[in-house]
Amino acid sequence: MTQPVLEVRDLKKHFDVGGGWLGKSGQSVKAVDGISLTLGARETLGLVGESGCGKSTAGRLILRLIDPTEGEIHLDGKRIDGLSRRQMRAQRRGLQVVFQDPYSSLNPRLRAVDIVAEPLRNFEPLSREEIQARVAALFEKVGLRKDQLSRYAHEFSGGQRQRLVIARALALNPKVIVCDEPVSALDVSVQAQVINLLIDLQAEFGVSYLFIAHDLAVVQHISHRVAVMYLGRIVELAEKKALFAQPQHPYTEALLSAVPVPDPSFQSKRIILNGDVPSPINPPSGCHFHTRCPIAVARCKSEAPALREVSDQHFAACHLR
Amino acid sequence: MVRLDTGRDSAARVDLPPVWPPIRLRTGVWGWIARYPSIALGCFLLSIMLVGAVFAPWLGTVDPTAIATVKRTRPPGAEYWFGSDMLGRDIYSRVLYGTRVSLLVGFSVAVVASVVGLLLGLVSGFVRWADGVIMRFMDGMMSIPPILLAVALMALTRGSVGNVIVAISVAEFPRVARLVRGVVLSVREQPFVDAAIASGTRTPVIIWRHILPNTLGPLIVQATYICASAMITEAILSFIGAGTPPTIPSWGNIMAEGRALWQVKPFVVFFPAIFLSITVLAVNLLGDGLRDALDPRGQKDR
Repeated sequence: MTQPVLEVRDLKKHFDVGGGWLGKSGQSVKAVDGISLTLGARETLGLVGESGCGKSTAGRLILRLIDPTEGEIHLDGKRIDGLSRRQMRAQRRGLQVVFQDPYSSLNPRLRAVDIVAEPLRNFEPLSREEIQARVAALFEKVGLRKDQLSRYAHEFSGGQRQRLVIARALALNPKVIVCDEPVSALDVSVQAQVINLLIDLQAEFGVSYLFIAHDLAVVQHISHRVAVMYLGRIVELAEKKALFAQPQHPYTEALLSAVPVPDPSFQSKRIILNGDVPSPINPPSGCHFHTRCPIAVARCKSEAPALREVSDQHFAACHLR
Repeated sequence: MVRLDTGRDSAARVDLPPVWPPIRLRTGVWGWIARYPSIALGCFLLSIMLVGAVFAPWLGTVDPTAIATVKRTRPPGAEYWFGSDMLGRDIYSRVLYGTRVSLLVGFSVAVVASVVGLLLGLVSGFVRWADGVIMRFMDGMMSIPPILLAVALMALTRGSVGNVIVAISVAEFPRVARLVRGVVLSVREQPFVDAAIASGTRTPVIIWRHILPNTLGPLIVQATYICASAMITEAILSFIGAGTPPTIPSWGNIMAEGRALWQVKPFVVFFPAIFLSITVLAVNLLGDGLRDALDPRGQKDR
């Protein structure tokens, strides 16, 4: 692989928990607890995990919407984690976002054309007509009509709104788009349209996606590689085919066994995990998963497994594999 | 057997009364009034007051300060429409001129308190370190009852309409600041603000384009209530002699002067009180109507 467009090294985010005198209790939620990943050009990396595992926080950290506690973020070879707001603004051309909820991610008081034009106006000294033309071209790319330019966000359906959000993210021709559950608020038929749109746009513009989702079917469809997160850590990272065919980490195995298979004669070998996800304020010692792991041994309790290559380009964080 | 009426044998059909009256879609001015009755009524009453205030000299008034000691405390009649007070001044003229003071104070306080409160609220909601300082200061101000604060401020200066406006504004703006801060805190967590940051939009532009427009609805509603409360506070200040100087007629000081006689000559107090009540009611109706009209969740069926 050539130089990655996005590289994250040992990224951590610990939120202080309120309470106690003067709002400091000394405890913290370890939302993201040391993740490392790379994203190549024209690549889609799926980031999956259940609610509360820190995948959205990881996306917000990479976007620099919140500041990391520790770790490095490199965008296109440039380190961006220590940049000030002003310095960061210049880097935002290369890094855009699509959020989950297409309703709240559009300002209800702006017209569609102004929503999509916002990033253009921030970075490019264009005239009114040029901006209008660029926005109209973007509308066409994402499958919206030109006569919808001057409508307000509430006049669009959910799927159309998400197309608007994608048009806004594409406006500056970024290297990387962080997609934070971009289709989970849409109904299934619209999900497919939006996913296919994202795939088409990747082929056309050569953009890379960090695709955060909890829907394994969607991730399997769009991703090239997949990273699985559990309690703030990446437990497995591999090519999509390898991960879905031969999961190495027991958590991934359990996760995949929960995917329904549309075949009535299929004998489900579902792995049922016991208990709930432990609190990220006091995560279990050693391997975070050992409290629910069906194959845990004594070592798992005391020693945190590192993410290591178990086979070619297939990484897993488990002592036993 | 039930047959569907295809309309061919319409002669056999019985003319039934309609189940519900046909829906008449009203458009234009009447439709608007039907949709927002309290805004319409509030605006109507307020505009009457406004006309009275602006055109007071041409509405059959005499000099409101002209004293006629032989014609003291005359009851309402042809010469004195609302009667005359203890110094023989025409109460109708005084009440009409008093409208000027009330409306001026009400509107000015609403504007001044909203603008100051909006700025402080925006800063407080956006600048984290300033939030604690500003809000604790606002809490301190709000712990003093607004009327007492206004009285105290008036005691420091001499009575004039300008000073009354400043005193009441100081007493009112902390509430606006707190309201705006709350709205800013909730709006800034919206994904569209994050998306704007990610698009590289500068903070002042984010505040101007994304935050401010979303605070205006609640702010306008709050401003109308401040307007109403400022009119009452002005009347109270004038009533206790801490507001408008006695040389300028205002509803508060007319009532104060009639206070001693209210059991025998109630009209002296009655007319300014009625005007004050109607004006405050009008402003409150307007505020209630705007609150319903500006709240997207409460959008009525058209």
